[in-house]
Amino acid sequence: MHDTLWQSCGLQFTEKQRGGLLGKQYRSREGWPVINVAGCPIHPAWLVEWLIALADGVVTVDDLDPWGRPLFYAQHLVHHGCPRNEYYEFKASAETLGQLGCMMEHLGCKGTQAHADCNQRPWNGNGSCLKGGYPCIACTEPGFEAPGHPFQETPKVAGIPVGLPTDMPKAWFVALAALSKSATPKRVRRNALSDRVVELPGQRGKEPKP
Amino acid sequence: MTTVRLGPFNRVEGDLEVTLTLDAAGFVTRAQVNSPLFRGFERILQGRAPLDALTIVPRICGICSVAQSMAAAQALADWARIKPVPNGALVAQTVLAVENLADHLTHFFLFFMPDFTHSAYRTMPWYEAAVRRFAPYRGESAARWLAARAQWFHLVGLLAGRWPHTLAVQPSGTTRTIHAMEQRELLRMVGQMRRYLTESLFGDTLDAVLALDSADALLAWAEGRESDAAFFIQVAHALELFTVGRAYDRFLSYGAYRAWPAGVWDRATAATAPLDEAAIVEEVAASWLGGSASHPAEGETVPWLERPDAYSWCKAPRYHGAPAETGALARAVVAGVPLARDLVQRWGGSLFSRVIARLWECARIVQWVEAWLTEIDVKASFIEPVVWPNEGRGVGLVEAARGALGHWLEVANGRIQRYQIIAPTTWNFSPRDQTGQPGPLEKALEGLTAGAGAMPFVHHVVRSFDPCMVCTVH
Repeated sequence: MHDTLWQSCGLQFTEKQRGGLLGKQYRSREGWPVINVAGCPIHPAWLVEWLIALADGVVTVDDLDPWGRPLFYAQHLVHHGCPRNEYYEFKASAETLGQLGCMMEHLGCKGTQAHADCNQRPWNGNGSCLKGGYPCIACTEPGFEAPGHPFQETPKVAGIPVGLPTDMPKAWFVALAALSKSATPKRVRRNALSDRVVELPGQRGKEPKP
Repeated sequence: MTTVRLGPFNRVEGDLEVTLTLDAAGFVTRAQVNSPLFRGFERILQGRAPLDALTIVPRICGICSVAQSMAAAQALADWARIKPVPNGALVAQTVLAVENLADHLTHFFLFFMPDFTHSAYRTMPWYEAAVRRFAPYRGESAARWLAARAQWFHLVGLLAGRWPHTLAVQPSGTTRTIHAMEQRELLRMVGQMRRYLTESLFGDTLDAVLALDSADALLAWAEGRESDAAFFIQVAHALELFTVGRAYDRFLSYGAYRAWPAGVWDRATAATAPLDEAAIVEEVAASWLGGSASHPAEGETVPWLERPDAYSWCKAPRYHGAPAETGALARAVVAGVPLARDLVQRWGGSLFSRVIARLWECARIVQWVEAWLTEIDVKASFIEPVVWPNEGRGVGLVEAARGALGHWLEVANGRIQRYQIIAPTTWNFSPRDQTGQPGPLEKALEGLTAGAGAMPFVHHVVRSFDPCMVCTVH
């Protein structure tokens, strides 16, 4: 209960703090803590598949992560399957919305930190935030609503994004980023700053004769 | 005199409680509509970066999400004195129209029509057919709609990433570049909805539905026809619902679909007046909120549980001091759509008129969406960079499925200083104002029969407004 205006709190976590309305120790009669099908919004299949699995008795508390999120979707990162992965690899970044490049460096994208399978499990046919052209705000993460910076901007210290991948030493990331930036193909660098492909992938061998 | 309290009200979006005072004969003499939830989104926005509104406001509601995004994007564009590029405007308008159609029919099949499977109607000759079509969980028509709805939202998946809560709708355009092949794929998806509406909802071509221009033409069209829309008209005829549930017959629209103008239309004078945004005031005399009546650009949101005579978290918006109804019927009436005008002239803004206006609008939306998607220039850009000011004000006025939605923004030092929202159901389900005038639903419920043994007309009327309570109290 972190604010007297809203008097609101979570059931078993309030943001990142364990606790909340039911208390830290709460367990259901069958031994379950609060299951947090986290996301704002959630993918409908996260809920439906989990409920069916629960009803079928094929899941246990071991199928939850420490935040109580079902692992079947929270063991992935939004980054996995992101259509902009090549731009990420070469640190070829979009500078404004609508461009094809990676949105991590400038536009606030948290896909490398957000636990969800959004780019593997399509939304509304074949969509996702990234496919829609806008950054992941990590809406499956505790505290996503108050990131401490504008949602569509990447906070930086000395030009380096603060929110780097969670399980990678920072120095390595910086070194790797510098290396990959220096090796970025012209195609990737140009397309990253365009709203459509302007430079085609190369083709091995000679071009067919006219 | 007895009091009946209905609530929590099921099959509406969010929390709703209605308190009815009945006379000895069982007629409603007074209705009080309570929105029993405080949410405080306007306060959440204070102090944030202006563009954060695009992330926060769609989360006011999981069914009016795009409408909230659009209102914020327009308020921000107004603040920056820019307009979206043409392609971005077309895509944003399409995404909003897709949401509006989906909301209309979800309301019709899942919220409104199941009331006709109420056991009070079990002796009616049409009862078995109503159950077959609309019974909760089992209705065949409802199941067909849900399948069509899932396909329909693929449009949003392609145009805006996902539904709800897209960030694709931005002040200067939309974030997704649409290519020529995708444009064709989108048109194919619209064709699927056209087929569903033609074969299942109407049982007739959209052109034929759109050509209906009077109440008489509508009744003749429905007679003996086999479709969900025609079935509703037949049942409404049998129950004599044509004039039930009228409010003030004063309609407000902010203008919609790039074609319908903003304005106010009053049945008493049968005249349309252009919208005067300065005439909008939110009153709080019966709300658990501090402050006093003010224009939303000067409004505030401060809970005050001790306010005397307060009974709702909803404010009471008034236009030139009078309550006004908003929604699909309002925008069609203001725009001069012949069928809507004739229904209201003949029977008033009744529950029947409201439902027909929604169904008719669905046919219109499909045709417009086809035109907008065709108009997209796949060689041009969809968004452009913006230099944002540090100070200033902006207003965004859009038509959500449920009617007029307004956002009022004030920025100081690069941060949101003030953010005020008036949602459609805030108009329709407003409590009393400082002169004691009931809100539109409160007015519409007066004179109905209620309580034990009464037909569920109160339920039909409440749901005919398609309330969205979570937006109401935002």
